[in-house]
Amino acid sequence: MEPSPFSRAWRSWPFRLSVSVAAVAMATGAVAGLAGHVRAQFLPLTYIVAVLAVASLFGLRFGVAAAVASFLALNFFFIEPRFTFSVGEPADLIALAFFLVAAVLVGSLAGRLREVADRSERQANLLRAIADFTDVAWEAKDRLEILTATVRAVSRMTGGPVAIVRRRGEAPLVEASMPPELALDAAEIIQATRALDRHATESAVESGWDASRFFARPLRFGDNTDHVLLATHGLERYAGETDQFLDTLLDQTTMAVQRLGFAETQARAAAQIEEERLRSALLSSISHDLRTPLATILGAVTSIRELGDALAPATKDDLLEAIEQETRSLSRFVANLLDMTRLQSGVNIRLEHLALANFLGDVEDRLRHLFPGRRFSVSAAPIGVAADPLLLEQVFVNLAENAVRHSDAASTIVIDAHREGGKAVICLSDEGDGIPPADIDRVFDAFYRRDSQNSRTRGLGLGLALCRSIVTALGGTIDARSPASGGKGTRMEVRLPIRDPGGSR
Amino acid sequence: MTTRDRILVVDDEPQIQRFLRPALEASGYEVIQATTAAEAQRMVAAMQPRAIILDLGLPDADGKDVIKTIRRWTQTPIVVLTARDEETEIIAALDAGGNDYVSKPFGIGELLARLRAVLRMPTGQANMPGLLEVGGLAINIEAREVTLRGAPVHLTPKEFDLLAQLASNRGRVLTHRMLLARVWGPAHVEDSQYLRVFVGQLRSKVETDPSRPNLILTVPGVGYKLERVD
Repeated sequence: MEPSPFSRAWRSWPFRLSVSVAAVAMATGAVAGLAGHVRAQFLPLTYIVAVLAVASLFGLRFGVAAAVASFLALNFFFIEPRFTFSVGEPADLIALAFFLVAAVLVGSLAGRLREVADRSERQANLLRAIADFTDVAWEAKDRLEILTATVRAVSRMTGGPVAIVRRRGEAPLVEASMPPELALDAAEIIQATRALDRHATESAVESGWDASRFFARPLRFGDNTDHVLLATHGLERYAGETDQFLDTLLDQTTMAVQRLGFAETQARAAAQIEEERLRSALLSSISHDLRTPLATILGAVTSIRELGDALAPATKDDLLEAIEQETRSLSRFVANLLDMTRLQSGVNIRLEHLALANFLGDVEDRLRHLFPGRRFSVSAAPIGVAADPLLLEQVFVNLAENAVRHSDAASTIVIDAHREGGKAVICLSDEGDGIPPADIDRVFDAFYRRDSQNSRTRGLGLGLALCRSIVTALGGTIDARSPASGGKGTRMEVRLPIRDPGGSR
Repeated sequence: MTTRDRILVVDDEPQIQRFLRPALEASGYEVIQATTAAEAQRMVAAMQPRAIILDLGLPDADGKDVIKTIRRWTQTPIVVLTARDEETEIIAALDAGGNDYVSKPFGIGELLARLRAVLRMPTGQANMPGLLEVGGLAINIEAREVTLRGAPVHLTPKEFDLLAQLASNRGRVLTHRMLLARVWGPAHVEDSQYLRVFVGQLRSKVETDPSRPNLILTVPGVGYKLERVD
């Protein structure tokens, strides 16, 4: 903060000198006025009051000066012979001498007290500046926050403008400054660059073409010196003290910046570990979920071939059915995996116009094929969407698989498409277990699985996540509602923008 | 009518049970099933199967812990089914007391062969029998003498110990760790190279064709097994 004009005046020594002189003069006047009314021995005390006042206001030097001035005034104006500096009576000389000693003592003690009080206050301010800085810096989330706190604190300490400048290519950039809109002139920029290049502090320059109000001190965060602090020295008299506190502050800054660095490294490491864990879990899951159907298939096939004669026909049929089911399940799983890979690698999705009535008819055929024995009811209003037919079909296969897994074999799965709120809404509903309200938001998360009493096979937990990825990639949304109707079951709603043939909406 | 051997199949995947049961029954075994570790332990105690086929990927417990628990009170042979081919998993299961393993997916013939092999092992293998015969080898544990088709074979003490371990656990896969610990001591369990050399030397002395062993078999990445194969 810039000191106010009044306080600057207060501190200037011409002002203080005039006040001191005035105090002595006032004391002189007072003594003159009281001369007739008060006994002579008490008159010098008036001057002591003046000395005390000056010393406690302005400190040691002025206090002592006022003491000497009082001594001279007392001698000149009131000791015989009056209006001369000579002293007539020897007793008066001794009294004067004692007065001088007393006055000087008072002046210097009071003055010293004043100065100590001043210094304590200054140091308290500096410490407060550092404490405030620390509060901000240790909680800071990025480097800029720390540096802003630093400049604010330095500014408080020095009472002048501050900037932290960073080397960036050709021209250094002001990262933080107090006041915030501080602009550097060319000489100051050159000074900053020089400080950076030489790794040494450049002092302020009074005048000339390279005049700079700042000293430039390079700051070192970690390995490289990219930052430099530009600050004024503040009041000359207090420079030594301020420098000490400045050092402390800058040390704190460095520590705070380093702490930030460590926190970032830690976060990155944690993220990497999490990623590794996820990848490992995924791999392990895929491995298991591929091998189990394969094991059933291989086991059943070899059983038939090697033990065929010992097996009852019904048993053989059952084994063959198991082979068929597992093969289909495996191919769906592989399709899901491939789709996931496709989506992740950003392969172009081919959008074409799909008439939902036709499309859902094809989907119905496929579902009856995949899940023989299950009941499907499909209906569609005459609306069209823009979508990749293979991917969208996969969505419904996955939704149906989910429905089949979680509902009774005798129940019906209903698919319908209608227009709602300017979008095409395709719903797939089942009459099964439903989804508990707590899980409804997580149902589309990768690896989310629910146990079900009916499940013959366990899914990877990717089916629904893939649905969401595909639908999102097609510009739509997918939601789960449970219970669907009649208090049970689940309804999956896929919303897509309507697209009529010819591209109009 | 000869009593059929009772086999306990522990696997939580219904599709696996779906082909294993008919296949085992058609091969002349009686099959009982469990789908969880807890159920398995109960059934081992109650029904006393002759052998156990155990899937490592059970929902309620780690496969090797199940084996450890079972091994506390019985030496019933265990064939482990594993869907992962991570050797550490298999080795851990065998170290815990499993006799042999089969990786999914497997042909039924492979499983049946392993089952037959472990069933051949006499139960109660706690002490080493005094005299072992396998193939043309006759091993006298007490006297520390080995003959091959009647002719004496000279083995160093360590070679003999190695052979004795393999032979008294006939049909069972012994992991590198197990063999090293039992023959050389716990301090040497990491010295697989050592083991490899010794097995090689042993083979050169007891195998008809050391380069194509049919007695001391290598189970890659896991260990060794002594079994007569023709």
